[in-house]
Amino acid sequence: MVWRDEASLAAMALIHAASACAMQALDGGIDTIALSDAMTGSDAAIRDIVRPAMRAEVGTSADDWFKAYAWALRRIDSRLETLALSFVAVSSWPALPQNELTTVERWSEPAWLRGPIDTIGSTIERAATEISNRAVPNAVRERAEHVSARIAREIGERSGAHDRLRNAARNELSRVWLGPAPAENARRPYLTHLLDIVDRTARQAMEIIA
Amino acid sequence: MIGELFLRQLPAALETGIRSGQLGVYGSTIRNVANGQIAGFLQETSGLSKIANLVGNGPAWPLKLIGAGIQIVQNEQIKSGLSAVQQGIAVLNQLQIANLALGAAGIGVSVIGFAVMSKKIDGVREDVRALDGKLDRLLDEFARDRTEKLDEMLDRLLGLAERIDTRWSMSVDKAEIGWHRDADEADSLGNFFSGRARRLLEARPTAIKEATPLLDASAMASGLRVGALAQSGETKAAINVARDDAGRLERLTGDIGAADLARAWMAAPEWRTVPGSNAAGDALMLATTEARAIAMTLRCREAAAVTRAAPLIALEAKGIPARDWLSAAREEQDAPILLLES
Repeated sequence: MVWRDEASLAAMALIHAASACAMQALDGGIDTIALSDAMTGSDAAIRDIVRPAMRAEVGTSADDWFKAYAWALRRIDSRLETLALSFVAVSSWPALPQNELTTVERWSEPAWLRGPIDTIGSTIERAATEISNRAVPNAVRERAEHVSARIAREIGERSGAHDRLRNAARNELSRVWLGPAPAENARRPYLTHLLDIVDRTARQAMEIIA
Repeated sequence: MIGELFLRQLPAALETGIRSGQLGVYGSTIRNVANGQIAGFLQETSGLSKIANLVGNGPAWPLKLIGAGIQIVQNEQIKSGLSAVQQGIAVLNQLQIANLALGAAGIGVSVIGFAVMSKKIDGVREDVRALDGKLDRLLDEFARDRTEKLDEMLDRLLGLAERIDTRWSMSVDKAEIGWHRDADEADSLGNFFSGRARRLLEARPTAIKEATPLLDASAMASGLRVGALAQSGETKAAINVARDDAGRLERLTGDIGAADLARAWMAAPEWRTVPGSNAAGDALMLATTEARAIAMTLRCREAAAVTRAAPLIALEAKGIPARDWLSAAREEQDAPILLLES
């Protein structure tokens, strides 16, 4: 059924496009993540940047997608009107993942890596804070803050901390949004939900017009 | 009498209907898109060979038609206005069936003769070669067969096409006996090709590119079988065989859609990319484009199979022997397609 193909391909394009936007958002906001968080590739990047970006992008695009393919379904045959209405009904849409990560959604850093990296990140941040807290003239303080931000960014890139964040983001995109879902994952990726809805609707449509 | 029944060009009403989208070509039928009612039947003719000769060989040779058409228009207009070949290409383009007519599936019952069949089989061989041994490896793995064997079977298919063609010059009695035998051999060849395709797709449901030469060869064998039966006067058997072969093809590829292929490819290790990267976007675009093209080919092949005998059924209802219709199609040297209005 052409409708199933086109709706599925459009859903794939939708989530892929949103993923690209989310990765751009991460790169734009990567300096705002605390270095200690970046070092551990923690949930902060996902919670504060990637997931809100995905929710905003997918929320808007999915709305258009549901409407467009409900219209296309109705256009195939007038007998499919009720099915098209049910397809576009907000209640049938899969819920967008919340910004707060559930246990199964968390990026699982190997335990042996976590201790030293936490320590390094905290040390650098503490040093930067100490400099800025000292009783020094504003110009010096500003300069110190600027330098400390630059150092943090440099360290973030050179130490691989930012890459760890990007990896955590990619892992999020793969597990929560794009799939394919690992068998043990409790939550199915959002795209899989959309494709399931398309498959189910296509099957019902075939039964109606058969 | 038979000459009065068919048309060599598309009547204005059908042309307008197709252009407006009210009518659509589905295999060898022209249908009303809204209600599925058949407006006309199509049958390929020997006139296809002139067009085929213009566009050379290779797996993509039918695709060269539109370009060839433009070229001919330019050259011929300078010389002597519209030629018969040019008009033929125009008809194929109006109906948007150039690829179908010159591809493996064909339009209606196969009567195109040895020359065009030879080109079609060359196209299948090119497709096998283009896979660079991949089909060979898969057949080794899943079907315990090798490409060399496939090549032999394609030779047999070519020989069969030649024999079926030659029998038109024999006495009716001799030809009928021969065509019966040919139908049996076409059955055996069709079983070979579709059996390999089935085993391949069962083992690797997404290996559709690799299965394509096998499916094409199977479609050609089916076309020859239906043609041989119809030519020998066994119209009912031809209709039944066409229906059975269409059912077999539908079971093989009917559930494979563009989305299934794109999804499977994107999940395959060789297509895997970094989520959210430009490479992932490019991969999805490529997968979508290729999957759409392949799905279109699958649907065209299925449509050709399921409507292959449709003109024969219509002729039978009018009391006209199928062989007369096929003989007219075979003798037609200019128009690539004959049209029978319903």
